[in-house]
Amino acid sequence: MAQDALIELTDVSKVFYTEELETWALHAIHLDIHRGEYVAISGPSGCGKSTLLSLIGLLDTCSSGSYKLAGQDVAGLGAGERAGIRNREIGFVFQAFNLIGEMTVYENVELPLTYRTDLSGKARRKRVEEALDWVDIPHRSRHFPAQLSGGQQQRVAIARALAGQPKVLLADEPTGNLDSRNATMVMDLLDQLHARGSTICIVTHDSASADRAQRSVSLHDGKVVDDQTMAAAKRRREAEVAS
Amino acid sequence: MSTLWFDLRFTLRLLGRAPGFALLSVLVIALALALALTIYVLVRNQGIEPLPLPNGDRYVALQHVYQDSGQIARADQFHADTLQALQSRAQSFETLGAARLHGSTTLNDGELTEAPWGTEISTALMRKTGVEPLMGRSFTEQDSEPGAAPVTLIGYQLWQTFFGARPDIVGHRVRIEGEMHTVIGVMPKGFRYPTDHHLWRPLKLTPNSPPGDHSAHYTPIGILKPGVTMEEAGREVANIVNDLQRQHPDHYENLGATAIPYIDAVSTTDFGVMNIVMLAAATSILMLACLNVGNLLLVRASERNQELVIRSALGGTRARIMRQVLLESLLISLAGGGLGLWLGTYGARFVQYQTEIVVGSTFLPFWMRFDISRDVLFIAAGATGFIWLLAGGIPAWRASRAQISAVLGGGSKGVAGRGNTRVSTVLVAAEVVFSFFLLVLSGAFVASVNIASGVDFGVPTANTVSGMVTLDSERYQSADDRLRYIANLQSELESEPGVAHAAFTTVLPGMGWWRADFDLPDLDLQQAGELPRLQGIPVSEDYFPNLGITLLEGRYFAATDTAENLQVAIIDKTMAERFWPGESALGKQVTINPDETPGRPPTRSVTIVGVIAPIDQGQALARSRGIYNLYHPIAQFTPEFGFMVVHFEQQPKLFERLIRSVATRVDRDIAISMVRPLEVSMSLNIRMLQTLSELFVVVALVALVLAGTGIYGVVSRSVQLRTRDMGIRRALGQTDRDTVYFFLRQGSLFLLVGAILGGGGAIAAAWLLTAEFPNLMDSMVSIVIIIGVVMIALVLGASYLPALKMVRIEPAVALHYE
Repeated sequence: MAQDALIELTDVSKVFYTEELETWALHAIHLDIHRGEYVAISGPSGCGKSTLLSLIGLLDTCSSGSYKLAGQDVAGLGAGERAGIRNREIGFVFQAFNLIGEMTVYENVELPLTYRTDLSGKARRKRVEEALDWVDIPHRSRHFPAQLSGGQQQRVAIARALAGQPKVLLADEPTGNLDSRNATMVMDLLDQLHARGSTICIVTHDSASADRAQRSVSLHDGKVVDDQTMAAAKRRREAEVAS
Repeated sequence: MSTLWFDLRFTLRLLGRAPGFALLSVLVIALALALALTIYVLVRNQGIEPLPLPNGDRYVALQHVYQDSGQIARADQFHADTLQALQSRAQSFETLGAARLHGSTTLNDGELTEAPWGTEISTALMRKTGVEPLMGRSFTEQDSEPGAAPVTLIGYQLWQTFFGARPDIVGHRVRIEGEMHTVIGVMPKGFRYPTDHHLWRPLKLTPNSPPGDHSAHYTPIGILKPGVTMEEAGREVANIVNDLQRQHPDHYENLGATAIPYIDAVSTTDFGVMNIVMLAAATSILMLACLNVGNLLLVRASERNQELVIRSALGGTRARIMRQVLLESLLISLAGGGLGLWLGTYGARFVQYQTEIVVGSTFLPFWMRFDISRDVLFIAAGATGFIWLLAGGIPAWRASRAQISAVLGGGSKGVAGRGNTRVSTVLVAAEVVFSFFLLVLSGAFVASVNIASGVDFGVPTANTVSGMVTLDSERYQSADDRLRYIANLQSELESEPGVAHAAFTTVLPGMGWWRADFDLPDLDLQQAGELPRLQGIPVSEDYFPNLGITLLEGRYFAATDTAENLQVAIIDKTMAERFWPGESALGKQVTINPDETPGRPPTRSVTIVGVIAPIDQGQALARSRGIYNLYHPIAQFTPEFGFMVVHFEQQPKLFERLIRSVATRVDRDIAISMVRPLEVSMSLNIRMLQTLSELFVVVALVALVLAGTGIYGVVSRSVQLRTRDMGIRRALGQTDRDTVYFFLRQGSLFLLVGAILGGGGAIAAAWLLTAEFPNLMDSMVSIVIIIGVVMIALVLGASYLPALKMVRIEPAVALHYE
C-alpha cells in the first residue's frame, strides 16, 4: 500500500517552544495518503489539524520524523526547495480564501504560475483561462476580490490552486466562511475534482463536508485516534447512534 | 521578463492605492538628496575632484616649506634658479613649468586702463591644456625665449568687454605692464587656466639664472608621469632643493620644498574642516532619510504581511518575495532620486549665484562647476541606490522571513512579534539619536556663522568706495616709487569735485592679512611662555581720521612717520587693554617676529604712538580669538598692493568711471580694480559665511522636518503595534492613565538615549571643531535647550497622541485589533 502513497508521514512530531514551555502539537503521526484519495481530517479545536495540514503542505517543518511526498524525502529540504514543491506539487484552498485584494481575479490565479520559470506568458494564460472556466467564473476575471461574493472568492481560490496542476489539493476549512448554498457549491467542485482523479486532503469541522471524503482521519491531542474509510466511519457512527 | 512586468504592474497599483505613503516617501528622499547634492556641488569645487584638463588628476604644484616649522609657504615663492634646477633634474614629471599666479596685470589700449587677472606661464603648460585659441595661435617655444617679441593671449571675456569684440584683435598692439605686446590669439570662452586668469604672457626665464635672482617669483606646476605619486615627486623635489641648500646655504637657508595638490596651491579659498562638516551633514541627512523611508517601508511590509505570506504559501521563494518588496522601494527611490536630482539643480544654481556674488563671476577658478554633470549624476544614483538598499533591504529581508504557517487560520493579528518590536525600538532610538545630533550641530553652526557674519567691523561705510591697487611691476620696485604713486593718486582723487577725502590701506575690514608672532619687551611674553600673534596692517597717515575711527589715546600717524624716523605703530583698544590694563600703552615697544628666521620677514621693533577704537580686520571664517591688530604707517612699511578708500560728500553714482579715469591720469599702466562701495567689499568677506549659514538653516529645517515626520511615524507606529497587547493589559485592569504613562515613559527613554548619544555626540563634535570655528560653543547651551524642547515636544507628542487614541478604543475592540 505504501508503494502507491503520495504522502507518507512516518513518526512525525511537531513541537512548539515558547520561553518556558514546549507544546507537542503533533505526536508520532503515521499517515499515508494515496494518489486519487479524498481524505478528511477532523477533530476538536486545538487537536493539531491545521498544524498537520501545514506540515503536509510544507508550510512548516517537522520537529522529528520523516515526510515523503511522491517518494521524495521532503522533511529536510531548504526553504527554496520547499517553496518550489509547494508551487508545483501542492494546491491550497484556505478558509479565509487568502486572495490578494490588490490583484484582479485573473492575476490572483496567475500568481503561482509566475513563480515558475518554465512557463511562457502564453502557457500561463491558457492555464488561467482553463482554471477560471472550470470554476465557472471567467466573466469575473477583471474583477477584484472585494467585488465578489464569498462563494465566488472561494471558487477563485480553487481555480488558483488548480492552475498549477498540483499533485495534491489541501483545503483548510474551505467552507468555514461560506453560507450553506455556497458551501455546497464549493464541495461539489471538490467532488468533481476528485472524480477527475485529484488527490484531496481536507480539514473540516463540518461532518457534511467530511462525509463527502473517502477516508476519515481523526485527531485528538496531536495524535491520530481514528483512521478508516468513510463507509466504515459511517457504519460506526450509525452503530453508536443505534446503541 | 513577463513575471517582472507582472510584479511591476502590481507594485504600481499598490503605490497608486497608497498615495500618501508613496508621496511622503518620495518627498523625503527627494528633499534629502537635493540637499546632499547641493552640498556636494559646493564642496566639489574645493578640490575633491581632478582638474577638468587632460590628465587633470596628475597636476601638482611645488611649494617651499619652512624647515623650522614645517609650514608650507605661500604660492609664487620660487626663484628662477630653483625652477631651472628642478626642470633640469626632476624625473617625476611629464611636464614641469611655472606660472606667476597672483597678481593683476595692467592693460592699456591707449585710452583705458584695466587690471585683469593675468599670468606669465610656461608655454609647455599652456599647450598641455589641449585648448586651442578661438582665433589666432597659441604660444610657441620661441615666444618664451629671452629677447623674443612680447606677445599675449587674451581671454574671451576680456576680448568681448575691454576690446569690444573687435574682429581684428589678432595682431592688435596693447600696452601690458608698461610694455607693448602683440595679441596673438583669443582663448575660448570659459578658459581661465591656471586659476581665474584672463590674460597670458609666455614666461621668459634667463638661462642659468644665478642664485639670489629675486626679481621674480613663480609657482612651479608639474604634471606627474603616469604611476608617480605626489609623495614621490615631493620627496624628489625636496632632495633637489636640499642639494641647492648645501651648495648655496645663504640663499636657501630654512627652505625646503614639497609637492602639493594643484588646487590647494592656487585656490584662495580654503574651507578645510567646513568641507568635512558639510559632507557629514549631507551624509547625516541621507541617513535620516534612510531611517524615515526604511520605517515607512517597514510599516508597509507589515501591512502587506498577509499578502506576502500568501505568496510564500503559493510557492514564492524568498528571493521572489524580496524582489517584490524591493521593487516597491525601488520605484519609490527612483522617483525620489529623480525629483531630488531636479531639485538639486536649483540647489546648484543657488550655490553658483552665491559664489559668483562672493568671488565675482570673472574670478571664478576655471575648475569650478555648478552643472549637474556626470559626477553629480553618479552621486545621485549612488545615494539613491544606497537609500534603496538600506531603507528597502531590511523590510524586504524581514518580509521574506514571514511565518508562512500563519496563513492557515488567518495569521497572527494585531500583536507585534518580538522581532518587529525590536526593529521598531532600534529605529526609534536611531532616529532620535540622529535627529538630536544633526539638529544640535546644525543649530550650533547657524548660530556660530551668524555671530561671525553679524560682526560690526567698526568702520562707517556711508558714501565710501574702495578699489584695489597693485604696484608689483618693475617700475614700482622701490618703496619711494610706490609711496609717490599712492600720494599722487590720493591727491588727484581729493581734487575731484564731490570727493571729500581719500586714504590708503593694505586690507579692508574683515579681509584678514598676514600674521606674525610678537613680543612685548616690557612684559617679556616669550619668557612667560606666551607668544601671541598680530596682524600688521600698513595704512596711510589719514586713514583713521578720514574713516572716522575714534582716537582714544596718543596720536594718528603723521607725515613725519617716515622710514628714517622712529618706527611707530598704532594699536587698538582690545590689544591695549589686554596687555596694559589700567595703564597707558603709549611709548611701549612691540617686537614683531622676535625669533628671526631665515626666509621669513625680519624682526621689527615699533613704538606705540596711538590707540584707536577696534576695527574687526580678521577674516570672518578664520576669525579667532587672540589675534591682535597693529597698524604701520605706509611710509615705514610700504606694501605692493592695497586699497584706496574714497569718501564722497554724498551718495556717489558714477564712482567707478571717475576713480578709473583718475587712476589712468596718474599712471596709465596702473589700473584700479574691484571698484565698489566699501559696504559691498566688506560684505563680500562675510557673504560666503552667510551662504553657509543659509545652507545650514536649510539643513536644520530639513533635519527638523525629517525628524518630525520620522519620529512621529516610528514612535506612533511602535505605540500602534502594541494596541492588542495593551487591550489585554486593560482587560486585566490597567487604567487608561497607566496606559498613556507607559508610552510616555517609553518616549522619555528614547529622549534620554537621544540626548546622551546624539546631543552629546554633537557637543563633542562641536568642541573638536572649535579650533576652526572659535564661537561654535558660544550658543551651545541655548541651542541644546531649544533643540531639547523641540525633541521633547516631538517624541512625547508622538507617544501621547497615539496612546490617547488607543485608550479611546474599548478593550474588547483592542483585543481584536488588526
